[in-house]
Amino acid sequence: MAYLPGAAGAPRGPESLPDPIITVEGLTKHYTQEVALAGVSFRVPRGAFFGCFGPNGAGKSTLLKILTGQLEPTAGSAQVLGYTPGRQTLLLKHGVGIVPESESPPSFLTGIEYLEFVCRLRGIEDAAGRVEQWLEFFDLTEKKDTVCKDMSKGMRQKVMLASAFIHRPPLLFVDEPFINLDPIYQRRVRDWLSDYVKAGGSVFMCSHILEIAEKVCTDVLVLDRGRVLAGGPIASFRGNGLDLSDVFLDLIETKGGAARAR
Amino acid sequence: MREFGHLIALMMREEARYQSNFTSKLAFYEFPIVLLFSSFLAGFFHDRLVAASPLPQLLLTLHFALLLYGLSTGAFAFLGKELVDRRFGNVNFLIAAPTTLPVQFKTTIAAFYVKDALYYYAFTLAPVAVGLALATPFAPYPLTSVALLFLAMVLTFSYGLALAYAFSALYLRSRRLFNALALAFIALLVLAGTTELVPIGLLMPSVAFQLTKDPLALVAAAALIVAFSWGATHLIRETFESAETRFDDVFQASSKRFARLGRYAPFVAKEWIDLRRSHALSKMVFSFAVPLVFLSFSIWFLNNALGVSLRFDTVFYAGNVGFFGVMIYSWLNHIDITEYYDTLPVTVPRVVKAKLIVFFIVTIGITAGFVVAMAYVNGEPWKIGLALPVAFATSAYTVVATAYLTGLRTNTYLLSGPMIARFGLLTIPPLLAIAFLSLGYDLFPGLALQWIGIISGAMALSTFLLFGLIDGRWGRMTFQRA
Repeated sequence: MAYLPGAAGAPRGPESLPDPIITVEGLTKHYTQEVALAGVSFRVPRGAFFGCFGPNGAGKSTLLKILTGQLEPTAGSAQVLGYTPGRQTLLLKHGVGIVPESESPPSFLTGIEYLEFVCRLRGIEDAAGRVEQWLEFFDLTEKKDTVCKDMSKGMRQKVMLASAFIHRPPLLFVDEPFINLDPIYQRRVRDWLSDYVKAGGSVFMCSHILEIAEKVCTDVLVLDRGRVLAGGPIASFRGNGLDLSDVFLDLIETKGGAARAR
Repeated sequence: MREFGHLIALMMREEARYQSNFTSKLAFYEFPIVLLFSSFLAGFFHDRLVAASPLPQLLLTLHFALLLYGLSTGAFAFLGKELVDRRFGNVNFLIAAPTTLPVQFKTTIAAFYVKDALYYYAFTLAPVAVGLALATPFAPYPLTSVALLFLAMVLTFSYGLALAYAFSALYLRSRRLFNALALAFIALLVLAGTTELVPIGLLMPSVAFQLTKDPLALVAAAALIVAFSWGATHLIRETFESAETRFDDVFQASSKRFARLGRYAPFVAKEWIDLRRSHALSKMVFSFAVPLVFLSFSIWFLNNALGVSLRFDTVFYAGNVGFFGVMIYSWLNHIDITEYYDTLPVTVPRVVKAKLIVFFIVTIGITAGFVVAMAYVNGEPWKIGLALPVAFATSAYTVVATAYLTGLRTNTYLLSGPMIARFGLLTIPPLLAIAFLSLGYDLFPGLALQWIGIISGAMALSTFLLFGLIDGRWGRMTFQRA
């Protein structure tokens, strides 16, 4: 694929990374008046395209923030790439790419300047080539001199995606990566992520778009109200002619409903 | 009208929740308690205060300070444009409602203006009045004079607020008219200071009301506030043009320019680009220089127009530079969001320190220029050698202490009572000591010089210490919380 800029490979060879690449044990997060996560445990195998699903308020974004060192858990533990988020956050962030759900790039830098800035922070030597590749991939070349505050939501999302992919990390955390993209770029990003996983990368994705998730995910976790309703390889969820949406809705209504009733 | 009142009530709630988001709810209410306690002490020691400086002089100084406070917080007309021009990450406010709801910007900005005024009355002016009132059993003034003072304080502060609101709205409509009217206003102030053509009561009726208790002055003050506020609201535009802005790539060149700063170079380069493109650089220079000039002007005005005898030397002015630096550091934290840093291998201390470096780059020239100018104005050029190190030491110390205490949310954290107390403990004693020593310089120059040198040296050393401690204090904080 012509638009695939260096998806293959990671700074460390995939075989040198821990397997499972993410280990979570009894992770709990309490906010003042609510429980966002209640004893969540799971593992993400190395080389997995791991999808985390759940209704609004299920705790998906909280989980992603804890795993990337942006939030401290109340209890429990997590290991990501062999690092402990919170204690080794800086090392962890060097090794991963993060696409948050709604964060914007800095207002007064242009797209090209922000990507150059990210390259400087990540110590990338062939910055010019990589920046060029990603601007082309997202068709941002024409708008490369526009400051980010004047970009559309979709364009800002593309800049954030490029900034997370540009250092070719072995693990990506992506929260609703398709939400502001048009169908062409949803397809393009989806295909790139699939190729990235085939080349040895791992993805932890939170999303509501089950149709896309069904096509790319190898493993899934279903959360509701901070509790794990189900998890495992995606093949184990398929059966009886049901697609992922049916299984998801069924899980939320039966197991989630039962938990709510309790 | 009922809807307008409801909107103000909702905005009050929004403000309290937003502020207490970063500090505790308790801390949010501690700031007024600190004010109340301080004013109680002022009331309790009323006799000693009045013995040191006559009451009319104290009142005039208080009203000038309140006018300056109102002026510095009242540029509400810029808010609408800011909402269109800038992104606030995940945070959205009711003031932005006209973008999606059938309500006018005029209405939400006016509601925001009234909300902020009420907020300041309730959390700043009222606690001062309550503190003074609680001290009445121990002080020689009656409760009625506290009520009169509160009313006059509300009027003076509101007048400053309304003036800033009106001038900011005018600035967005017509720069020429803004320049002309601003010059006219300054000319009136100068005339009031130098001649008897313009009585000060005409320019600041609230001061006349405080001193004479004339009900006509009260009506005039209220009428001016309403007129400025009404005019400003009607100048607000309903739409803000926000053209797509394009720039050549200057990041690499800017990074090279700051290369000697090592690992801070990319951050300083980014901050520098932000400053230029957001037009904050000129606003910051303006905001730093104007209060310094205003301070000098106020003292000149108090001396000449109002007969209040205040004599300050160059070293005193040098010591005050640091205080205004806090405002500039706060501005630096307001230019843009920083939450995107949470996706990158960057720590909060690195960004805080980069902002401090930018602060010194921006202010070093103005600080030196102001001190040298004041030395010549005061006829004391021989004091430049002492005043310059004092200015740099106080400026560096105060701003690094602010950064150490408040990180990237200076405005919010400085509203917390315990934080204000810590800030006061760290900064006020050395600044007061410098001020007192500068006042005594002409009486006992040797001793004053020795102690000014010791205090400035201690501040310089503490600056390095606090700069290093920023890592420990903010190292594990995320950008969403810092």
